[in-house]
Amino acid sequence: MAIAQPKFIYQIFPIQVNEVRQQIQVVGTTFAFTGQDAYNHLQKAEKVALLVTTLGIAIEKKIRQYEVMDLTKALILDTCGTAYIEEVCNRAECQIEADSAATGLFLNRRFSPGYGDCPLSCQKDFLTVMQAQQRLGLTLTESNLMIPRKSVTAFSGLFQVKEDARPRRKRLECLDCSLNACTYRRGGKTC
Amino acid sequence: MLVTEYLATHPLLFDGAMGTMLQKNGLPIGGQPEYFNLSHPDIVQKIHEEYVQAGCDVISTNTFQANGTKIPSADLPEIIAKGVALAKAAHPKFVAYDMGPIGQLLAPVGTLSFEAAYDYFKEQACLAEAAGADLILIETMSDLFEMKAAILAVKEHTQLPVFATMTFQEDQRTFLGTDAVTATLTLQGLGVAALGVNCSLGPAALTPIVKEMLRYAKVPVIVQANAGLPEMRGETTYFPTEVKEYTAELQGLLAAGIRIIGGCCGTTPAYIANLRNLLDESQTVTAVPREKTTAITSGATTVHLNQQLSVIGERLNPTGKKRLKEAIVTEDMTYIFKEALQQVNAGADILDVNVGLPEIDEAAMMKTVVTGIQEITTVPLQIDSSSIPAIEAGCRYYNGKPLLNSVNGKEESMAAIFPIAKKYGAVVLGLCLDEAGIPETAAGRVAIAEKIIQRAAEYGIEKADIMIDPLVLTASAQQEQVQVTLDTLRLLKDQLGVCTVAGVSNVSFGLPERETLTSHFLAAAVGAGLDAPILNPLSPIIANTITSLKVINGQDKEAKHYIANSRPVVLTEKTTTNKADEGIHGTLKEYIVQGRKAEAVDKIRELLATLSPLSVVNQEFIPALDGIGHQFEKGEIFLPQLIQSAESVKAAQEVLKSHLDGVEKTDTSQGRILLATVEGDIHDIGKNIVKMMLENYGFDVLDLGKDVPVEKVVATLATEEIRLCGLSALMTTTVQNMKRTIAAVKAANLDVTFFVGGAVLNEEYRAFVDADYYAKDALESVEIAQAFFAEE
Repeated sequence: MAIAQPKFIYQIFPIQVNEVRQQIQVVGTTFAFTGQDAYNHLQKAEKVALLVTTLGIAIEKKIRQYEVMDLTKALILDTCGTAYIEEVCNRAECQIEADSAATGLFLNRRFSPGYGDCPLSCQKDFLTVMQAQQRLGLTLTESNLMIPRKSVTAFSGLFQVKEDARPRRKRLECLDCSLNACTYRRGGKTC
Repeated sequence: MLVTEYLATHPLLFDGAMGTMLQKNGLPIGGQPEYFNLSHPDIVQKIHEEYVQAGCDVISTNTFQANGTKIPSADLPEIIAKGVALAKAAHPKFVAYDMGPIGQLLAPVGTLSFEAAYDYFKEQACLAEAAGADLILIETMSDLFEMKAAILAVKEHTQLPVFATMTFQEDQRTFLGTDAVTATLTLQGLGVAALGVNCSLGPAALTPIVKEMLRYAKVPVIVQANAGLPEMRGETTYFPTEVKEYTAELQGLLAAGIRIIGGCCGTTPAYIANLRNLLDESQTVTAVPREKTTAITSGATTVHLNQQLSVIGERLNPTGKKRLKEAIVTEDMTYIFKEALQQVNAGADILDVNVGLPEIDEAAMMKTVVTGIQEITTVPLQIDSSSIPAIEAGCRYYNGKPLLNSVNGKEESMAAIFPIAKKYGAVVLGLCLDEAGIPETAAGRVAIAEKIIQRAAEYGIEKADIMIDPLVLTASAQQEQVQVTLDTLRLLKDQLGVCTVAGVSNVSFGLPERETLTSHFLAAAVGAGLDAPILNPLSPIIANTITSLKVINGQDKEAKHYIANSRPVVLTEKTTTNKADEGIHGTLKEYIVQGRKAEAVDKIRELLATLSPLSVVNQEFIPALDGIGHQFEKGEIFLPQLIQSAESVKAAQEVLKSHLDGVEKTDTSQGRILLATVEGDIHDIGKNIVKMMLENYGFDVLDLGKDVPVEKVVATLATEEIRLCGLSALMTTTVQNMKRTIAAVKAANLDVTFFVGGAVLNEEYRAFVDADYYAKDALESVEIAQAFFAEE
């Protein structure tokens, strides 16, 4: 088995904005986004693209082997896995963009459960709607951690008007990351 | 009529998809289909009836994930009873209770315990039997280990036959890496009534997987494919395989020998009606000859012991090994795992696992070691113990078809071991000895082997699942018996045609240059018919013999491996002298700073000839570590360099440790610290780095690993009387468990100081979880520990 077996699935759904409850309902499903950040992110959107990506389980075994035999390699492979899965997301996003462009819609920046006030607890419904276990072998622990660990869930809004598609797609910034103690953190205070 | 009786003379037709049919009838995406049994029974029953009208023999209940993690336990009895009742109301020949995966991954890769998974399955199976289901269909499984928990739960609590299907990807493996042959051997070993594939791919893509299963399956094979791999078209899911194509593919598979068919996602009553016609037109059941093999598996590999020379690594056995013994007693899993991986890297095909020590709970330790090793390697294991509970624990928590070591010709041994071997589908290793001891003649030993094979058959264990050990005696004590072993091997092959195994190292016990004698005996034994020698693959001399033998028997095609791995072996000179000639000119300090592990190890050996261990620590380790620590803090070096230096220290410390074993034991510990990655969290690289740094600085670390239950932290702190504890958590969600852990320790009135770390941790979270210190990196952990024990 190859160490990394990158796979992704995405699906585009219409949305309904519930102003009273400040929720975004994903039409045709049991899933709704809660929290102010997701609401702001999708409020003006026509549709939402749900994306799930994973590198698969084999890399877990390799990292654990290295943890036993050579911790430096474990750390580096683990980090490579993180960088790799982000790149898989970038590629998937390009495909979603192409799909959207075909229907005249514009994409904003992708956002993930766990960012801001978008709760990790929404992972359960997110993954169920996407049938992520059957289609990607992705599972969730009681504490809402995804296994395989090198997996990402994300969503982007699809907008009629280009100017509404904000925040624009761009690289994530250090400040968006929760690794406060990172040596390489730029553009803000480190804790 | 029982479904198994019917199946003996008929093919069997299952129904098609339920989920996609429910979605067409108003179930929102992401909605729980099982609740439809209560809220929309008419719709569920109508779908069942449509399938019965289409001609299926078996209806699967609408209960795919009716398990305790998805549905509150209070609702389960009603949902399951109703599910079975709705299926019965459609009047099929048989009702299969449908049981899918729980949705969480089992430990140690995931966090769900085997026992918890078992209980979720048991709960369903009991309710299903009470409601009147005829069989249990365990389906869409990716994890062989979870499948095993489900099969055991059903078989240990109900009388129902089990049909088991797994779901495969385009690489012909499940998501967890199980291949078709491994699945087949393991599942039939566990006693399922039928096995096969379902979901994910269409029938054409599944064909090669199914054909592999048919080669070894002794029970009927099932195919319930999707109507092709689902594709997204705009906002709808589309299944590309049409009825006609689906039917044609299944026709081919029926001809190849499958006995049970049906549909999965995307199939409809129209598909089932066509399959009915197909079965009615071709009444005959194709009987396929099964290949017999003596094989064991892990969760992802099968080793066919009758088709190759297989090396069983012997090193995971504490007999005569002080350091391993200490590691087992202190549960130093890293050391144990390293022993395992080194043997795998040196070419072991199978690892023997023996943790037999009188002072420990052997069965519990066997479970820990077997599951732990299976997390890091795919090599199958040999469960080795003289304790029946330890053997049973090893087989139960083993992911795959195990090799059981051992049974012998004594009535008592056979009566205890064979039921376990049968239940878990193990290949069992039989020793040629009985109540009268070890026969001195080859004929005598073969007679015992025959007895073992005959008695096993009475338990339903076939000869292919037996390996015979002729027993190797030491040349120094009973020289004439060495030839008897070789003669026995020949007779076992000629007269019984059975697979053979033997621990070859024993031959040289008590003699000088053991590896030379052992390797020559090994060659003679393989020549006489030995299939699986148990030996030390880390010995270069023995490894070279194995490499050569694989050229001779044609296993190493074109001698590729031999050529790639050829290495000269110096028989008389110690390798260290050779390296000294090349020169180790640097200081230990330099090697540590540069992270040169191998040189650091050689250098410390040299230093220990003249210096005391304590002065090596004080003059070399500590200044080197302080130096790199300083560089790290100033940002001159980064984490990988820091770790490499720390690893060099660790490797050198191992040398120091074995050196100390030889002389008087002095307590050099700077203090004891407990480390754990909290419950629910499986990210532990950071914790492992902290552990290594603390050990570098002389602290004695008790590492409980990852996903450590709150109670275990409390209990260990109490019994070990440890006063400093480091906890790690990566995610904000698991920081909650850190808080719970600390609160539980305080509630138990233990005087423990806590330091915490992990990606999301900061000073605020430290206060939130009520810890004493926040350590932003491994070096700060060291400073905290130093300050703590200085105050003590």
